[in-house]
Amino acid sequence: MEERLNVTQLFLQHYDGLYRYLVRLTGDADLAADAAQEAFVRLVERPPQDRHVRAWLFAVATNVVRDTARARVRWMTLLTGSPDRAPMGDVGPGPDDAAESAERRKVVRAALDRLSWKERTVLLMREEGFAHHEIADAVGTTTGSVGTMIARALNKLAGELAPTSESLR
Amino acid sequence: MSLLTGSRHPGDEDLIRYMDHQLDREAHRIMGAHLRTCAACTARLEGYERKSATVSEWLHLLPAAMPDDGKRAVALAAVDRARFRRRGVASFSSTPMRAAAAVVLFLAVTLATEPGRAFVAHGVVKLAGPGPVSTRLAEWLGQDEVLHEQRTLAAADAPVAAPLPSVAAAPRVETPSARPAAPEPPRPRIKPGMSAPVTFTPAGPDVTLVFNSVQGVGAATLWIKDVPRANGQVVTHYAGEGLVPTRDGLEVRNTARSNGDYIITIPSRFRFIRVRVADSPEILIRISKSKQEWIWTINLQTSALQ
Repeated sequence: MEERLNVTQLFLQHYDGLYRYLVRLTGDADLAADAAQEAFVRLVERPPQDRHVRAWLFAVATNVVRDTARARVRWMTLLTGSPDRAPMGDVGPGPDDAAESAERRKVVRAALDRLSWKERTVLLMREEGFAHHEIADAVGTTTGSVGTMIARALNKLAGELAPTSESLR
Repeated sequence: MSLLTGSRHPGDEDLIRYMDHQLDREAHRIMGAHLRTCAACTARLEGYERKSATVSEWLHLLPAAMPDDGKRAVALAAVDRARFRRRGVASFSSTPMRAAAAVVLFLAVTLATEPGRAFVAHGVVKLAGPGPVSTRLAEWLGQDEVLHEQRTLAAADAPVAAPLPSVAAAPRVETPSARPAAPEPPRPRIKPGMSAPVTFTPAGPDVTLVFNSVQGVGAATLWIKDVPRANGQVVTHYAGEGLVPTRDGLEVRNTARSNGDYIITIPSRFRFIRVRVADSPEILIRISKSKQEWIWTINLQTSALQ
């Protein structure tokens, strides 16, 4: 299978998108990089037999983040962390819009952090354009439940963001 | 979908699936028909569409995190290591390799004992007959008597009417001059594996790598490292492929039907690597801008630098 997959090509196609998704999911650039790398290594070692590679990569990376001990420790920090935690990512705000951008990111990050793991995962994978059955595979649930979780996550997040929406614009 | 199970109005999960175009065609049609007649459900759907748009807009406020080159390179290096590791494991776990390993183990155990050596000599002489190959093998195994025994049996079985029976029956004493010319030994067939490293030291400030042809399969991984001398190696399936040091760098003698991979390590003290794959445009890698342990991969199918 690995011979049939051009792993380097897949890496170039999907690594950046996967990394971006993982940074949004975890708020941690290092953890995102580790999980993305591990997903591609597993792609070489145990390639998927009958699944779309991109969905498979996102599902594996999501599970890596969730399952590794390091992720668990960090995840507990994330779940209990304060909204003041700085947004993560390699691209920092420029000096011009630093204050406003940081404030907006802080609000979004805090709202995301208040979602459950599954709600956050389904919402971000939906944002990446995945079908519900692919999201269901990633979080280990049924396709029907994905719709329920998306509805719940949208209600929560919209509720969190709506009050601050006008004040920041 | 609750509409299909008899409920009067769809649940939130159905609205979401409708909004995301995740319902099958029939369910989508039924939902659309209901929404055209139900103001309440239409309002709920519009509410979710607004929330979805708002959330999407806010999520895009998060920084467009892109991995820096270091993270990307580290990840790619890990992937390359996994690829080569897997190929090594896969080649050994394949059926032919297992069979070969079993034969080698059997021979090693057998040749370690006198009865085993006699067994092998008997088998070879019986299969190949008393010829130069079996003679040499029996001598090497210290089993000359096996040959004598076999020739005696052959003489006893020879027909009486055969011409010059005395010559045929007598053990033939071979002298170097009388011994028939040994057949040309078969050309060793190069099996997949790893070639010996080929070192090279270009004379100028540049390293030039020339691939003779665009391969059907394979890639070249260039490592830029602090090493005293550059070296190249063909990894797996290197039959018919060779690495030849040149004044400027290294020439990879491959063909369009080659399927090897190459690992080429370049000292970081050189300023440029020039890579040319067949008729494709030359690729220039500025080593001075590269990091230590930097890895470049050239996909030989497209000859594009990755």
